[in-house]
Amino acid sequence: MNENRDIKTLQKKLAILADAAKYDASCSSSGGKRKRDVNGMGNSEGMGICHSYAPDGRCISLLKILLTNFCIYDCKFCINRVSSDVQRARFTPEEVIWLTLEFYRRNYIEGLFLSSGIIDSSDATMELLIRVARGLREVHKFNGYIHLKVVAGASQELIEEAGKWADRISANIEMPVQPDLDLLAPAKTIAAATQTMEQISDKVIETKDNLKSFKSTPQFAPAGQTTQMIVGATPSADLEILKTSESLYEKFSLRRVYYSAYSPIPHADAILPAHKPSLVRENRLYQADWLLRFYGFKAHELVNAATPNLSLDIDPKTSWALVHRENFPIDVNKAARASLLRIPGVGVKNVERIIQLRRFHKITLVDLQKMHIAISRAKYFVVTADHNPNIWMLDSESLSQRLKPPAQQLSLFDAPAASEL
Amino acid sequence: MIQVDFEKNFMSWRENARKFLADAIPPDQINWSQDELSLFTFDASSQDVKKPVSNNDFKVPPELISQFKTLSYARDEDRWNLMYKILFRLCYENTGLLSISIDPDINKAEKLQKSVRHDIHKMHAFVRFKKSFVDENEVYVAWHKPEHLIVRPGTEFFARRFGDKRWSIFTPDESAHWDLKKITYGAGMAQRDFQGVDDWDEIWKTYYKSIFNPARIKIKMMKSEMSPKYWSSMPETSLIRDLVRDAPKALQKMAENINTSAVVDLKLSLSELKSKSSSCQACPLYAKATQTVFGVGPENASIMIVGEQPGDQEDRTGNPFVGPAGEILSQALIQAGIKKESVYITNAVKHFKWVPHKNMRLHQKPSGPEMHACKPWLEAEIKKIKPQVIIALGTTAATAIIGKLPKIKDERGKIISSLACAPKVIISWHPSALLRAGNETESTEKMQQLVDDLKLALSAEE
Ligand code: SF4
Ligand code: SF4
Repeated sequence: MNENRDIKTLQKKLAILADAAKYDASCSSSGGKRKRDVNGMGNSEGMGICHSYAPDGRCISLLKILLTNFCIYDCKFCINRVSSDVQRARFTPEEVIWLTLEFYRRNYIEGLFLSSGIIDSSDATMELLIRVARGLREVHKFNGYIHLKVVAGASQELIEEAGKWADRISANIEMPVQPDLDLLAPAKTIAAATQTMEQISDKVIETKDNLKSFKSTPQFAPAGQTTQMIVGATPSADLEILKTSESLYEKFSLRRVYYSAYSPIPHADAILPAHKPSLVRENRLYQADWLLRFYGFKAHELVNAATPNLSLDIDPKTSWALVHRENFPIDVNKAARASLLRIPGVGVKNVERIIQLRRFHKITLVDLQKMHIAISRAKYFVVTADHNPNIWMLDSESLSQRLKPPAQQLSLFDAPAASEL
Repeated sequence: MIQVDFEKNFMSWRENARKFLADAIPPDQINWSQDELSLFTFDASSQDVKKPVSNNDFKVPPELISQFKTLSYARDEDRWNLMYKILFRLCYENTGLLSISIDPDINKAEKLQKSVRHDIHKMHAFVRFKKSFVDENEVYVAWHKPEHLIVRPGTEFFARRFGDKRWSIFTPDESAHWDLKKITYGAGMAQRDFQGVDDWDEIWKTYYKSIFNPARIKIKMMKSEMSPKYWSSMPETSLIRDLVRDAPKALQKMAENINTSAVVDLKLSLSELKSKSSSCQACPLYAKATQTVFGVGPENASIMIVGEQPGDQEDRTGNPFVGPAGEILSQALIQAGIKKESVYITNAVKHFKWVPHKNMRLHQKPSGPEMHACKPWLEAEIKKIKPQVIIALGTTAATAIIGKLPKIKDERGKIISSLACAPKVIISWHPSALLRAGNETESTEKMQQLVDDLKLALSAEE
């Protein structure tokens, strides 16, 4: 009977504290590597698993909740700010442990992503988060995935302790530049966030070095760190956003920067846009981010002072190719890897396939098609062993028109009728 | 045509394939399909078996073995034949065959393997255990319908992950059972025969509902990752239809709630702002108050003082800090050596909030949303005055200025220089805190601290 009542309160709190956490984009459980403890459950095998998908298309991999949505901060873009009249709740660390274990046991989740509003002080809040992670690992011998959000301004010792229990830790930068924060979250600074990131990355490097000499070095956030930026809440252009990402990747060896299109939240500030988030823009930022990380692009090649925003109609790689037509066509049978990576519609995997195949065989347009290369885009930019009749278009004015996807494709993002199901 | 009679698994196929390969029997001479067993009977003596065409000892790359293993789980009658065809061609036709991904056989094999791997991955993802008891032992049971024949390769994962408790996974083809030591396999089961209920399904559904953001709908993406063919055994999927149907309504509600803060045009001058504010209705406070009480003081003031909100007398006169709290502030300013006329004085909230109490209008603290609604006016005042120092009195003012709820006791008496609104910000007691102080000592102490903080502001400004 008693457990029954507890379950009801737990469910009520869960509704509030999951709702409060949904504006965080990251739900990834990749990069963890842990074997099950003989006395417990849970392991991570490197590749994360999405256990479900919400109708917003997002992967549900982790139990993503806040410990509490009480917060002493007043960040305007955040529904949990102190001046919001949102319904508040607060889990005890034991309740979070309970939820995590029951969810995990039923194979609903890969693990826990725990974050929190700031209560009392950064350190006091951080200690509570750590209590959850330590309890799961030490008492319950739980070896599923744990991602802890580092509360901005938490002390070095607590960051170190968090990394000891968690697979991944992250500190949110929130906004690409300081003036955006000044406007929306005056108590926060980019400098404080990057300082936390630096502390994390220093510790990650130190741990790696120590591991080389001492096998018994305790783990520290083996799945690395990530961060999140909200886009579209301020007028900051993609230029600022991508420059910031680029420098974060360089300085703190982040695994990922997550971009979260600003979602209108109940009772938002009047200066914030009330329309639906620009999912197309968010998508373009992810594509550009991908180009930075895996395709050898630099931010300034994609956006600059003259065109500070990515095109919404055309993907960033094709956009780049259109303005740099002098670099094309590229001969797929001869070009170096770095050049192949620049062909619109050709992904990293297919570049590898091309390099493999061309050792045995002269590559033709049909071969590219068979590799599932987006030939509709690529054909204008490549020379193949057979005649490619499309490259004469390369200098044509109308090429960019041809490369724009039909307008209706973008309306995929609009809410379809439920009858579609 | 050779009709092969074998147990449909990889090991048995391999044994047979090895023999055929050694005898160089071409793929089109072998029928691996058992469905036609009754039509053909194999009579080896009647076959014209070819001699081997090469001295090849039929070594194949180890990856191929594991790829074939994967392939053998595909729900595709042609898979055995396909595997043999690839093997044969590799040994007799082209040793480089495997890297020609555009070859039709290789291509088909790759596709099938991918599909099997995908299905195994989705099994790991979408199996939903339900707690049950068998002979008083806790057992977690699940029913899942995979696309391919993957019970064996697919369930080892669950032993690695959930090895500390017993579990059983049923599929229409076969079932797997973990007894804490090993997996054993048994008969399959139809979904209607599976009986599992679990209270936690409801908690999980609560989570699913709450984590969904109605501002973003991407049904296609969801369906491509979580194919409806798996939905029947996943409790949360029963919510999808309603969530999608209600999303526009939920969004609408969000949008209606959104305009709860004052809209301020920064191009206006300070006095224009003041007159604009007199018609503000951005929050409910305007309704019961007499008038807005905007800031007063010189536009070039280098010190700005921010209080909480107007009180009874301020509401009647239209000027800030003229009541009992204003009295205290005036005294404190004198003691600190600051001329009141040189300072810009305003409040975080511009309308008086009160409740009736015995013929009186009893002051009430403004709520968070009210402070939030009024903040654009305060921000506009700061932008126009551009003060060197802002003194925020009390928690409401301090929260509005520093963007964080402070503990006045701990955070007063310091210069905060990290904020964009002004080079220096100082937090102190609101004069009404002195009025409310429990005893003389406390109020004297707070007065002294207020004076000290004002002095600090004066020195900071210089
Ligand atoms: S500190 Fe975090 S939880 Fe608190 S208001 Fe800011 S963004 Fe929201
Ligand atoms: S209190 Fe402020 S926001 Fe509310 S109506 Fe008055 S001026 Fe407008």
